Amino acid sequence: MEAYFEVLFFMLAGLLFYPFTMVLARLFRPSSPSPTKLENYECGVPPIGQAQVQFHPNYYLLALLFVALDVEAVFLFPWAVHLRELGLFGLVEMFIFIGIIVVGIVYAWKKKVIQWH
Amino acid sequence: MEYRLLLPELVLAVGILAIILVDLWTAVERKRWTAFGLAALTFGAYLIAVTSLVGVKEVAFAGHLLVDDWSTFFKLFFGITGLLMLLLSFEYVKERALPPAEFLALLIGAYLGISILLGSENLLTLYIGLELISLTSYLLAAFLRQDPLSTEAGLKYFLLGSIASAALLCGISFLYGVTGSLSLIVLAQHLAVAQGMVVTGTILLLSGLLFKLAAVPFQVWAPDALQGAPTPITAFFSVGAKVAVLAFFGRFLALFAGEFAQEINYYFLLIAIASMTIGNLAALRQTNLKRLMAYSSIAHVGYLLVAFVLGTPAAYAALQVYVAVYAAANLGIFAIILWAESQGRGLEIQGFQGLGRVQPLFGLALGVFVFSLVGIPPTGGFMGKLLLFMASVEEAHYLLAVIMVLNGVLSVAYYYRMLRSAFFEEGEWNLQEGDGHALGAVVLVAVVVILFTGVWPGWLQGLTSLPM
Amino acid sequence: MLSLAWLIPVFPVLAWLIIGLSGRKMQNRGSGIAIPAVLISFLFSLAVLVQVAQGQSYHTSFTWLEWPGFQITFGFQVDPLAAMMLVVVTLVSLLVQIYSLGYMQGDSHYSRYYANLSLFTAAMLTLLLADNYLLLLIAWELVGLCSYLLIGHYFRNPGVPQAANKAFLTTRVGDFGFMIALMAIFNATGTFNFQEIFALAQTGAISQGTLVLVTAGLFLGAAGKSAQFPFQVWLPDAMAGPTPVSALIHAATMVAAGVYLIARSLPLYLVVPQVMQVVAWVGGITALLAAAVGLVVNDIKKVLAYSTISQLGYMMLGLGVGAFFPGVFHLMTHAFFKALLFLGAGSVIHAVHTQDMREMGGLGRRMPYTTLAFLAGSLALAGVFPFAGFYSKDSILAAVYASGNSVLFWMGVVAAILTAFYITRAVVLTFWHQPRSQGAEQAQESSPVMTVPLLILSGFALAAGWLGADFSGNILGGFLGTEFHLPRAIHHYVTRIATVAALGGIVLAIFTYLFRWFQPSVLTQRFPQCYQLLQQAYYFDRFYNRVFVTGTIRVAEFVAWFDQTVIDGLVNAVGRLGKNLALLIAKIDILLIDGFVVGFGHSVGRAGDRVRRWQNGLTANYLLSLVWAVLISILTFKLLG
Repeated sequence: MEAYFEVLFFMLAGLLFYPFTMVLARLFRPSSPSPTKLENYECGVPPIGQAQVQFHPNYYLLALLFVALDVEAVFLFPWAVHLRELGLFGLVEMFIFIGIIVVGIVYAWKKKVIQWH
Repeated sequence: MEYRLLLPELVLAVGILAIILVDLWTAVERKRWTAFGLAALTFGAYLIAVTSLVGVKEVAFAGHLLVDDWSTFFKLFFGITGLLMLLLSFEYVKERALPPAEFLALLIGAYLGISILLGSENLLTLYIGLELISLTSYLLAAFLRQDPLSTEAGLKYFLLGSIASAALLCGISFLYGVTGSLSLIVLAQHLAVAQGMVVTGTILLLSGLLFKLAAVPFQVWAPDALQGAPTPITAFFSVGAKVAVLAFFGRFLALFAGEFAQEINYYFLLIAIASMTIGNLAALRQTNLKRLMAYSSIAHVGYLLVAFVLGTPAAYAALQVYVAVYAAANLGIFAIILWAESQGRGLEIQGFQGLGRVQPLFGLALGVFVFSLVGIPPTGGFMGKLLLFMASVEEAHYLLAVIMVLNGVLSVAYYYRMLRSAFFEEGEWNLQEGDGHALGAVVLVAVVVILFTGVWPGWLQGLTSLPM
Repeated sequence: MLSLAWLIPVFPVLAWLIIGLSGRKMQNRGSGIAIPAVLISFLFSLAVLVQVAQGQSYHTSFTWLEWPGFQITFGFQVDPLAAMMLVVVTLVSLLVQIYSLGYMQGDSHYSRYYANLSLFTAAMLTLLLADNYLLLLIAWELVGLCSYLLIGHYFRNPGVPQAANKAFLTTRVGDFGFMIALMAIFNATGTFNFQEIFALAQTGAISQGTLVLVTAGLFLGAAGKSAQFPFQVWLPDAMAGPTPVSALIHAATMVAAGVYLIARSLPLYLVVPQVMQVVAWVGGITALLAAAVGLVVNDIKKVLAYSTISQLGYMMLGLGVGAFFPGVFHLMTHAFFKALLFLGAGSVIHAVHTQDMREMGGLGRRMPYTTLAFLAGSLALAGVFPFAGFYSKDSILAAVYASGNSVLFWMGVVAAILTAFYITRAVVLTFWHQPRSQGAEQAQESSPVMTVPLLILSGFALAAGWLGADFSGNILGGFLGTEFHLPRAIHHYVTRIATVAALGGIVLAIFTYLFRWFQPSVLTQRFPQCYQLLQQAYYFDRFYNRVFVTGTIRVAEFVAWFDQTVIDGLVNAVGRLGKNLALLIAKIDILLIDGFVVGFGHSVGRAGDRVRRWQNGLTANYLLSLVWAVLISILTFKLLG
């Protein structure tokens, strides 16, 4: 059972951290409320309209494609580092991997996903 | 070469890519034939690849993949059901104007997941296989985009499936935390003692798997998902992932030993009894054919889980017979449902009214399927149940045997309603000149399998094999 | 020849296959295949009978299934009991099929009818030839299936599908017992073979408890099949089928299977006298109760149906006191005279187009052959010397008397009086007096294709009993290899009582219905409850409907309701709890820590809103129930462990 005390400790610490910092901040900071402070923070640019707007579905399709390529890149890095040790086998295998993802892109291309409407 | 062991899965993967790519440059009017032809080739090559592995018993890829006769039996089983699935959906895809390549690529993707799951000797491989099945299944369930029921089915299946996946992953991480390994072989050394985290982890893992089986109390998703999904996909759901998970159970549950194995046994006993009883009772009041079949498949899962409660070689052998016959009967019934649906008869039980008069051969076949599901000789369903009963009596599980027999009596009542509609009630049919040949072929294969198994169950005996 | 005995059921199966596979091309030629097939089977059976009589026997077996842990062998055997029944079944089936040429003429499903009859016969023949319980069960279920198809032959008529379904479901409840018995016996002995099991039982290698379970289970199956109390409800409804089918079901196939099973398993029963007692009592009660209902029924086929139940009760009674020969003897004679009665009734119905005896009358002059045949069957049923029923019923009563159970004996005697009474009543109402309807006035004798089988069966109804009579030296008893000798004094005593009972019943009925010295309506008005009780067949149907049918539906509805209401409600309750908790926290938040950690409170409040929204979407309920399932699973383990 003692092994779980650590877990309990972390849970409690995590729970208490948020109120603790809030209380701490409240104690030290000067209080001068203004409407600007309640606005959403968006890279320093003043927000326009509501946060809940409808996106064009093409955004999602593009995002998905992006993820596919992104993940590919994640795999490419460690592979590139160890290319010498992996040898020909590694080279062929990576081309197969890339090939599979290329199929996805070709498919998206032919289905006119990348075209902007 | 290790890759020889992976050949069946590679074949499926290549098939998926080929179907998608070829489809891009195929004229619209030839898309369906091309895609289905390629898919048939894929499953054919898959069967050949699997056949070449008969008798092989090897572990490959650093203990991630296992090939033995148990998994090979089920791979053969799935190769054949895959071909039958193609026949089932051939007309449907045309009637509903579904994109054939995408439909088949997803379907074969699910089969790829099943194949990986069957060979998994490692919890990570298991997860990959299961997730591949799940993701494709969500999409397939929602494949009728214009049909709100289908969308709802896909969404519900997805939401609930993610909880199940979460439980599964959580369980895997617990087990990994305790044992420091994901390999089933290493796990086996820790599963004899029921210590805190191992129990929690195991139950979470089993929950995720039982969800796929739609065993009570994890059945909530099944009726809605199976009712809303496109009918061929409903047929696939009723045999696909379920049987794969059952096959995995055969290997997984053999790992447990000692007191913990006893507890797991009781747990499965409870789930088995609950599944067959609640499945059968709930089916009594259903009027929608797909929903009725969903509940019926819950009940049959209950029967199949009994094999694991017993855990004897006789029980595992019985499981294989039962699975083969159950799949045949289910696919057969769905072929008839699909045919009635294509004739504009709807999906209520009344849709069968007058079937016996309009299409006597289908009517007769429906009788064979129903009798097989109920377990009346000389059908294969009787043999499956009988072997299961005998196995349970051998293990002195008398009460279980009695409950199974009683449930069999109960199930007569709702299956019979199909027959009554088909033979004893009149219905208006405007037969359209469509070729039901593909569906007829499924029905024929199913009838032959069921009757042949009923008269001569020994033929499966050469194929069956045990997970140990 | 004997080594070809396994071919006997093959011919009807072939006929079934040929007719079935040709589909609509067959049109009305089905009979041309079915009848020769059963004729060949009949000739084979005769040859087999002759050879068995010469002392030969036949047994062949092969391994059917080898399975991890056990193996099952299948085989066929012919012993005297099987040989006798083979001839009876094929003969009755042959005559029924010939008769059907006339009766079913012009039926829209003529060929299907013959296909089903062929399969029915084949299944029954397989049942007789089986050398083990498993094959017997398979054939047994096939018999049930075929009877279901045949009872439902006129499925367009109202009530017929329900009748077929009732027969199927009721017998399946009995089969539940059969299955249990089968599993218990295999568990105890590792074999299904009759001879091996009997040998083990007699040496005491099987525990008494197992034997009680096995014999009780088998009897449950037999009671379902043979419509014994309290499973008798399906048989009267089964009259919805074509009359020749009723003849076959009641005489040679379906219901005979139950009695055959008990006769076959008698070596097991002899080891457990308690169960024997149950068999005897159930038989006696069934014989008496069913005969009493026969008094008030007006449908000619239903009279015969209750008569069958009653006569099967006699057979069970005989077997229950351990008397193998009388039970089997009565099974054989009953097969002939009951087939005769049904075919006779069919001939009448065919001519009058009604089954209600109140609309018949005066048919004696219009249908002389039918009348003669029906009369012969009735005398055999009533047990009048020298007709077949006299000898067989007499031997059963003698065996019961010899067993010393006088209550059962007198029940049998009273049932005999009632039997004689109701069948005489049926004869008088149908064939005597003036026609009471237009149909009866215009009735004409049926065609020879129907009357010739009737006359052949009349011969058997007269003479079949002589085989087991003393003056013939009891050929049948010698053939079956069971010596059945009772002291002469007992025999004479019982014979006298039985004859008085039979004649008494007949004379009473003649005075009441023929000479009308006495109005039966006086009795029915005097004792309306009794009359209603009999009319409603002791309210069994209503009872079963209320308790089992409605009960099961209620349970199913409850499960559906439970699924929708309680589980959802539980989930909702949990959700509400969570929401209230969240609101409470939010309130505490607002009241106590107002202005402080406002964001925190807001987020909890929003969680509460979300919980409320959860209750509307079913999916969320599902999700929660899944979580609960996982939690309960874990808890179960923690508690178990």
